[in-house]
Amino acid sequence: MEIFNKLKKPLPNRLRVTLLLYFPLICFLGVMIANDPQAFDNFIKIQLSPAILLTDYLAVGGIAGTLINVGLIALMNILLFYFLKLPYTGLMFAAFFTIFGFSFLGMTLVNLIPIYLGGLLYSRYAKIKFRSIIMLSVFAGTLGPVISHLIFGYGFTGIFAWFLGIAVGTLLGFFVIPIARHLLKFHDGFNLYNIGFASGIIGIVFVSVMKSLGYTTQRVVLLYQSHNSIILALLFISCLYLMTVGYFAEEELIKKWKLILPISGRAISDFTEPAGFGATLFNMGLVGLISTVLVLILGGVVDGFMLAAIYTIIGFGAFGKHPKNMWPIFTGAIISSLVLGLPLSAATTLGSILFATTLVPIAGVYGPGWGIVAGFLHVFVVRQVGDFHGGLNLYNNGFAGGLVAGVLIIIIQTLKGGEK
Amino acid sequence: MRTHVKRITSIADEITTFLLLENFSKLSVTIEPEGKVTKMRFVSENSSMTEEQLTEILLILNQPRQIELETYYWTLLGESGADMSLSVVGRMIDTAQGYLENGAIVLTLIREEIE
Repeated sequence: MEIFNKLKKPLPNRLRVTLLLYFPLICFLGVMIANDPQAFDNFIKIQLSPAILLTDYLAVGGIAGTLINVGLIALMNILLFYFLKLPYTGLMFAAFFTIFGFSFLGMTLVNLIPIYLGGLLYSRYAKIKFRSIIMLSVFAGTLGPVISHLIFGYGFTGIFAWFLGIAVGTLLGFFVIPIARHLLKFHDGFNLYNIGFASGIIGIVFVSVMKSLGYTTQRVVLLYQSHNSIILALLFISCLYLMTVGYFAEEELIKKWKLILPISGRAISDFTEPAGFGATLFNMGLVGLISTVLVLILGGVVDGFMLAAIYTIIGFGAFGKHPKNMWPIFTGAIISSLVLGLPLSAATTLGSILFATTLVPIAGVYGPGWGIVAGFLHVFVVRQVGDFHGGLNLYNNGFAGGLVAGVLIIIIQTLKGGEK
Repeated sequence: MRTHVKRITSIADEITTFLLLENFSKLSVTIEPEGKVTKMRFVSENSSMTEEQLTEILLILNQPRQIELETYYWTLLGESGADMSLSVVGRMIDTAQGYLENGAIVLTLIREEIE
């Protein structure tokens, strides 16, 4: 142990970029191990998919094709962060790992680039630097299926389909920023996946317009549904990697990590500031590990959907989530799944349980009892609202979480005498 | 310009409500814009705040400025008393100074407008 302690030192700023580079590298390593001659063709197949929720890219393009997609998206974002000289904050980790996870489930290079372009145009219009809003553009990738579906799903063809998809995607990327900012007040920062809430509302408007014009959106459930050792290894190694780097980057790891536990998780809860970089990385790995073990204990399969959920939790392990505010949400969501008679091992049930942690601020601010209520309600709501936006919003749980939080916090505050 | 002004008033709203909730007594607020820098001064009289509490508040308010967070989260300000609200203010200002004097708490916040 003494040897390990001697090796411990804070991670210098210039080395922090290498911390994230590990993730695309391990994806490309996975591509080599999978040794699939069809890998590139499958990658192209993923790019040309309509991407509606739930489209698991492991089912569409296999392991290698999916890992190329995930690795390239991760690399593109790391380069963007690097050239924009972004600081390594909790929000940055949350954004990076959310997009990393959802690259297994709906995000592609084709449908992300127009959204980033929209964000860039918004920054020019609002006369602010792009680096000030890039995180919002990254999260806004949730609207990727709108673009993919316009190009490949609604039946438009040729250059027109591409023009329409890119133009609408750019417009959405432009307007999602002020809309998301405005809608934050609806739940007062009690729903961590706020862009999902905003995008759900945008999705409802978009689907309504398309439906009125005679273009319908069909929900799909295309899941991988079988264990794969490369994918499981990717996940476990990711968690252990973050915990190990955290261990070596922090001299008093456990003492610093304990500083995270009293934090409510309500926006803004950037753990890198009070607890330091190492303790934050350790927490990210830990919540990822807990979530993975939970999926396996409940008999679930780690597929693209689970990877999206777990990597999002890992990301928000730097910006709001820790074991103390997560357990009540998990408990409430599991109870409601049992009440509804849902099979706990089913991907859709597990997805609701994991993503319900968007509501951890309720447990953090109002206590575990209300946290259990929030998790309980979330499962009921998320099962119904996906059809509203036709699966065009990837963060459906963020949409449901926004509705639950907006209603529940008013109830809690009223019962606590907030008007007195 | 309008957004800049709204952000200043949101900060003032947050700190004003925080101080009045802590001690409902006479409170003076002065906002002095000088070019790109705005100085906000709050004087709350008959305060029962201790030196330790003030130090803790100044620690939260002096967190490093984060434009990326400010651009998105500044609309959360105004619902004072919430646990993370002072943290949002801390991300939006450059420096915070404060002291206790004859039972009054004096807080000075400085914010520079950055693109």
